Amino acid sequence: MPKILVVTSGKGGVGKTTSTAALGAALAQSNQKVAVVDFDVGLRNLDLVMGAERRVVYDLINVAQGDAKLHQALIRDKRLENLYLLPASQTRDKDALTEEGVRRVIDELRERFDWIVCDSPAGIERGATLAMRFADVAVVVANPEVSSVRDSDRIIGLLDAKTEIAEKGGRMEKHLLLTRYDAGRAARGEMLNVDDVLEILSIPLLGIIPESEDVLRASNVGTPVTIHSGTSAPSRAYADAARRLCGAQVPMDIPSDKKGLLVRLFGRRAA
Amino acid sequence: MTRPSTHIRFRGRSFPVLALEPDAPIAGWFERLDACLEHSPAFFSRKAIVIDVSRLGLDRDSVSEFVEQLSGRGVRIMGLTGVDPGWACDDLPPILTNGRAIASGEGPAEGVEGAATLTLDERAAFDEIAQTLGGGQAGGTEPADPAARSAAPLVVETAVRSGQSIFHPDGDVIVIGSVSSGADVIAGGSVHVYGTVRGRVMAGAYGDSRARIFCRRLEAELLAVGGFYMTADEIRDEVRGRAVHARLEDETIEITKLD
Repeated sequence: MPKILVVTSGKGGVGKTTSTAALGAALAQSNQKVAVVDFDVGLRNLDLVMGAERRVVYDLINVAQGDAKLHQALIRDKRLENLYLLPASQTRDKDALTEEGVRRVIDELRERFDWIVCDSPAGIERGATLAMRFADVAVVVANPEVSSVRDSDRIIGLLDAKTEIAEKGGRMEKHLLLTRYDAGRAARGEMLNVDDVLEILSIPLLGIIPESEDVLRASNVGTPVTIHSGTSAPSRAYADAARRLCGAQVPMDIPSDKKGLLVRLFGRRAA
Repeated sequence: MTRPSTHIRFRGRSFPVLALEPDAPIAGWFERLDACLEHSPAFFSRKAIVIDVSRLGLDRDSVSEFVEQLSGRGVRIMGLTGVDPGWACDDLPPILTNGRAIASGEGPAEGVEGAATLTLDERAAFDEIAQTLGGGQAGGTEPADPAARSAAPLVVETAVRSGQSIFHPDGDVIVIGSVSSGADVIAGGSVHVYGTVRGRVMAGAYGDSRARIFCRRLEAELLAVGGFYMTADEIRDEVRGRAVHARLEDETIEITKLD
């Protein structure tokens, strides 16, 4: 049974696109057939993060409007043969997407893939609501800071109200992915800690991605971090999150580096 | 030098009124009305009545005639609804649009709709008239006395998320989850939250000063009881983060720890 997964957050810049690429690649690495779909029409980025920007011919809008066939628009990843990208259009805006068009594309993708990972644009408007519209699973991406957490809370409310599954009386499966987590700063009280965020959002934790330069480096060379540096801490955290999405029980690793502990000790001594 | 003020004051307001909904055949309806009036002749006197003729399907001239017949029976018509707004003219009552029916309560306290604005005798007469003229629901008036607002409580079994608003004008609201920052819970009665309140909670939204707010943990942005409010800045540190209840005392919100 194929799964439609939406990666969403409300707030921009928290790591939706990076997480879409990393989770999509990690799922594909476990031999599942994956399509990642960019819903950020007008501000497309997923093609860059996936390193496919020079191969875009047709896009989501073309397929949704019936101007191109799905197989013409899908771009196969060069590194993983199970991974495909359906890019967004950069020249159109989000009003070009219609619910019926998106439904047709999703239905067609459902026949060909095990996972359809939808990268939502920021905000709570049309693009974001259409990205989540037909999903069965949501990954809510949040950074450990108050504005991101409140926006995620808002998005969770929309997931429970504006999606097809919710309107039919079903329950959307929701997971929290905490990104850009800096154990040292959390210990010093400069960031919300994991418990605070979980208490506010009260949805199950899918994973904690530590703040790392590896993520930025991978994005800049157009490779999902799970392919780029498979042994780095963020890459392992994403791979574990992908396994949890598939139902595996993987123990949660809450990042707490020794440096953070030392800083805390020094901080205490100074006081 | 003072000039006489040229200002007159206008304000949009809404009032509860009785709406009469005559049904066809019109002759039969008048017969029943006359029978009722014989029983309690003063029932319609000194009351603002709106006539909803949407069930009759009359043309312009017959509406005019119908209004005349009603006026002759001592019914003071303040407005007409259910007709084409284009018919407005000097010999018809003002035409009203966008009227909303007031939800009828199920609890025994509500009894007859409009009970609170009527005396006991009138209530009995109204009951009878409503039944005789019947043909479905009689138009109701909104109880003006906040004490009369006692419908069943609204139970919210999930968290109230940022951007969501729970509004229950007729009774208590019970939230089993938390109320997030940026969410509103507004109740005519009291509000009970079994999680943390981080958003805004308003109890006694129609002025019921006996309403209270209970929560397991107080981190609220704003609390209001009976129209008086308190922002997060005014909440004392010793009750913040605690299980509390809030009530109105001498027009100030008093917050007390529960444990």
